[in-house]
Amino acid sequence: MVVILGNGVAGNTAASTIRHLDSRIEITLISAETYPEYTACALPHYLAGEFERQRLFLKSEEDYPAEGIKTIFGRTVSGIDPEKKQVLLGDESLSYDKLIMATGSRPLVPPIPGVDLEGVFSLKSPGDADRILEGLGQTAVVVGSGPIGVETAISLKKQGDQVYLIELLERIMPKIFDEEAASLVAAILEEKGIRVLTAEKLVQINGQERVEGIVTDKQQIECDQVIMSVGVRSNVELAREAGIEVGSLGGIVVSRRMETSLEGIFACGDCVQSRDMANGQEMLSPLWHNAKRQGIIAGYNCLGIDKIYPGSESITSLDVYGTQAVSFGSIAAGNEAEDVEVIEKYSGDNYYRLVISKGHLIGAQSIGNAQDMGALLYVLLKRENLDKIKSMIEQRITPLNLRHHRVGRYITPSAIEAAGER
Amino acid sequence: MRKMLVTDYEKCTGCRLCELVCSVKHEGVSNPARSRINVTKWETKGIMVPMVCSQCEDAPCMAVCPTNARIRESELGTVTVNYDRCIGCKTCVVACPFGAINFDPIDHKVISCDLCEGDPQCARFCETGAIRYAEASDANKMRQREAAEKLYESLQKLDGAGVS
Amino acid sequence: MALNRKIAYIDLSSGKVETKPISMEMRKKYLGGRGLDAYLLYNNTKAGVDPLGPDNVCLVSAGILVGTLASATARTHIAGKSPLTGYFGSTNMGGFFAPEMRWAGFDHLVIRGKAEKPVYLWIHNGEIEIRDAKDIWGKGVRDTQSIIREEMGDREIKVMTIGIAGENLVRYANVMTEIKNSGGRTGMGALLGSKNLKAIAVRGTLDIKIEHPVEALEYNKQIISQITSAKVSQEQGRLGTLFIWGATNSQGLVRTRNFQLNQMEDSDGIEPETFEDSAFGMTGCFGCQVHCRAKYIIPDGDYKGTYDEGPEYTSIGAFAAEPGCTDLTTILTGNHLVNDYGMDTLEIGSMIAWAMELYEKGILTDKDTDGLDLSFGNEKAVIEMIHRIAHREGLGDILAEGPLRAAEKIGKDSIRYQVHVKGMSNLHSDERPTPALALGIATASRGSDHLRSRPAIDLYHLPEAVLRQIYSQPVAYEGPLTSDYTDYEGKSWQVFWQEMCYMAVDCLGICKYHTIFLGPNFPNFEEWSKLLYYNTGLELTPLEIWTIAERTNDLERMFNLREGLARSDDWLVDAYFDEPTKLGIPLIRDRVIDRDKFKQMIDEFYAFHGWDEQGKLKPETLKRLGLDKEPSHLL
Repeated sequence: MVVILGNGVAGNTAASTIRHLDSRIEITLISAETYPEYTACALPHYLAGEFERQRLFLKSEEDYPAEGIKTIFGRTVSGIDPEKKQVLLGDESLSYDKLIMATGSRPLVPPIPGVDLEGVFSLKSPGDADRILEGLGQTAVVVGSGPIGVETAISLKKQGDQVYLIELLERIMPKIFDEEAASLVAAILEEKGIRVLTAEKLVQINGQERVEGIVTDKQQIECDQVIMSVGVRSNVELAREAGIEVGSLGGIVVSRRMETSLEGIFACGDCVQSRDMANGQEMLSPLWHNAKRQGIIAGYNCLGIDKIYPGSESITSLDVYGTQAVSFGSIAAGNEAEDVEVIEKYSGDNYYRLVISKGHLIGAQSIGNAQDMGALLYVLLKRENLDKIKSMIEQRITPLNLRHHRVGRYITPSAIEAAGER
Repeated sequence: MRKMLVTDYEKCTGCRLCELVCSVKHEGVSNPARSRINVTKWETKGIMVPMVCSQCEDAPCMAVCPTNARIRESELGTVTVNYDRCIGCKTCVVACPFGAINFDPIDHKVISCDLCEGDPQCARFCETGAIRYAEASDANKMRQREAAEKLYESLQKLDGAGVS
Repeated sequence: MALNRKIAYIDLSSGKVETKPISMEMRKKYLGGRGLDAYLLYNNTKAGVDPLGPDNVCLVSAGILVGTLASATARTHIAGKSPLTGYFGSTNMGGFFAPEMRWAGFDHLVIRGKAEKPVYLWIHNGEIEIRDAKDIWGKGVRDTQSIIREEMGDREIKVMTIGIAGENLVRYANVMTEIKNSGGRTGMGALLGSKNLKAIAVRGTLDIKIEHPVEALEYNKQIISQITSAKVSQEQGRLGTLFIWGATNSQGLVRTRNFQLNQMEDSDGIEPETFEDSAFGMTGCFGCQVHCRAKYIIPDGDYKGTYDEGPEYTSIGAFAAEPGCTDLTTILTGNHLVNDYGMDTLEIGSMIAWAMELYEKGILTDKDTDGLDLSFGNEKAVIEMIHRIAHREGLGDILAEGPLRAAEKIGKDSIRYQVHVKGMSNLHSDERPTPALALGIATASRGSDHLRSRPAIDLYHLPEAVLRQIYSQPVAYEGPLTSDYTDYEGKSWQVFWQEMCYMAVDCLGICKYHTIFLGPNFPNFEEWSKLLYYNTGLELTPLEIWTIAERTNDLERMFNLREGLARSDDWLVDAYFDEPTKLGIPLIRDRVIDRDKFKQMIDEFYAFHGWDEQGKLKPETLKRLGLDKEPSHLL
């Protein structure tokens, strides 16, 4: 009997993996939410009115029994008893042989006056989107300019709102893009009528019951809606109470088999902290593809089949009004390593930026061209020494011995041309 | 045994007939921008490389898709797109090390090789043997790898000869 | 649909750009490519226009089947009044430019006026922009293309450009695309240069709808097999046009040392097979499975290690047989230089060989050559003259003017040693033993030319029955045909037929290697009728296509007549009639063209056309072809 806590991509992938490997084992999936599995990545499209609500969902309720997965939806797990191997649901309890914690993350809500007012939202679930859509007004302020903030701003603009995007730091998407790339994205947003306010701090949200406006350290803005998108926090409370180790970054600590500090309890998805495949450092990576892979690894190992998680990959790909903004790995800004080197290049409307440290590619950003980036991502993940592949790069071609992909092929990025100029 | 598209850049003449027949087969139009296969050229070096989806066993595009829209089609083993789910984020395009996933500028959707239901037109029309549809034997996989290595070597030779 | 591509009128003086659709009526009368260009040229110029002045037009077009499934639909056609001959100027090149131009939404460009300073055109998905060319002016052919692609950030941009020769108005400058796809003959590169137009860059992602895609795919497969199963295509695919040089030189059909000889005897080091050592595979144009261009690296000399493509038949002619050189590196280097300068190989080889003979005869001296030893066989001098002509330095400035102007400048009896028709040098083949081929070069609309009417298969000694099968459709022909290539009988019909055949492929945008040029069993009118229907939905019978070819050929003739062309221009230099061939196999040795028989051939050729004895269109011909109202200004 496997019990899985969480109905997100990590939990569902773990469930499907286990079912794929073992057709008989009992699987129970518990979730406080009542929706079948959905993808938060599609929420901006739904918000923009481009998608039917139905398209948010990856599964229907019937899919669970069809797959032989029992569900307990709409109930909150109150505790875990690792000794008895039980999950507590209020007065009830549920025994498990193996437990997988895929409890996900929740939006951060900063302690700002007025943050509880009606009309202040986050965007994480279909319900959040429904509520924002119900209250579509004339003016919206999006606080925080990570990818979700930017996508939300674009969606609301497409719905005809007057939109402000507020960022505390000097540039938008400050963790993902360096100055030049960020300013290119900001310029597109501004051109489309989104007011981008950087280096501006939200101080207070005004209103009686409903939001009426906001106050920053520079100005006051009247608005009907405020969408908070200042980041997420891992849901680790249950784990911590059960005595499972939580790391310094605020995520559950797991082995490369996705096992927690307690034997027989696995964890995957947004609630864990993992190793960055590019540099080996611990990271929080609340990204879909990492959660999915972790779910697979957790599924295997909880059945006793050895499988190692290679590490997490930071990849962001964002459609900004038809211009693709791509980033992966580390950015240069704020990087303390002494020998960080940057190569920048414009080619037509495309912009490329490579971040290099100790002879290795550690990050890349591009605005415009998405297709050439895969090759660079591969160079980064394989931790190929850049000097070693320099002549290949100069030839704009990189023959790869892709054991990982089981076939040897070559790649052809013009983005790599940029590196050729070193 | 499963079959795969085996490419050999040394035999490619860069004529792009593969792109043409691919777009006609799939869209009924001549438009390489909508082809699933692309020939990349290094014009001043005389190198032409056909790039097409490898239907990777552990496919990065499937791994990164945030809506599970990239799916393995069981019969031919192709990795295809469920357009009801695809949100057009292009993360798969970014993740493909071969740049083998295209974005159709007319229909605004990602496209990649579907092996033409088992009769890939690119291989059928390529008389030089640069693109072949062959059994996915280890030998063929090795051949792909060797071809890549040879390409690298020949490029280095070009370099040595002072080609800029 | 495939026929919705537009025509754009671009005035470089005013910067005005106007686009128009092309009506179905015009399509049915002129198809596209060279055919519609003939109409546009006749309608957009006045008699006596200065070829290098702003009132001349530069026409750029794609054939009507370009980019579609018809085995090799790559051809770009460029036309205008020729700066070299003063008559009809026209060139047709392969590569990938024309398909890209169609994907960008255009079939025809009519470029007028002159830009104040160097510009280039940027054409992208229906839009045309005139851009500053300061970063590419003065650059070679390949650098120009790289710079534009880099500037625009798109590797897939296709560019047709002039090199330094075109900028310097060398009268036989080419228009080039990619490494070596050349729009040669008649100096269209100088025409662009005179307009301060350095290049045209295109990029398109617009659909060309294929009307019957399933049938088009299957029929294309069938046509490709028909072509690639032929031995001649396989040889082309292995050696390129060099194989023709090898085959014809062995017989004695190659012009050598400026027509002093008809065979190169010391050619062991430059036989086609020897090139294979420097080559590493073949490349080709859009959609073509013949792939007739070798990829090579220059093995030695100043350009050692440089990549280029070719060489061609004319490269050996220009840099070996004609100047009497026997060095592989010289051929490969010469080919590279003319490709990057953007100059006509054939013309420059002829001009250098002519200068060498003048030097031999003492008409040119060391003073004229600034001390350069222009003796036959001096390889260094050949390479040096290429540079001087491109940059118009010293004697190069004179030779850059082309056969007639250069002869006038040099004076004495230098004109006696010129081998030209209508002021354009002949191919480096020797047509004295082959009256059919001789008639072709004498009457071709753009001056001496082997690509406008040459019945090359005449050299195969095909049985009469086979010839009859080919040459009696789509119009009946019951006159004589003979398989002996030294004969005069029936040859004028073959030339006439081939003229229609080549015009048709030039209207369609198909390569001549995919019709009856080298392969007697290759597609022609019957197949084109089906290809047109499957790809574009246009329903034209083989005979209707033939009639379009007649109409457009005659329109080119009308242009030439308006510029003062006379029957006397359809003629060969005296050497063809007076100086017998000295070398080769017995059938070829000791041959000249017979003046009277040749005159009779021309009479017959005119008659087939419906022209009078002076080579002018008879009124009933004008009426029959619907040309009696030209210029009609319908487009």
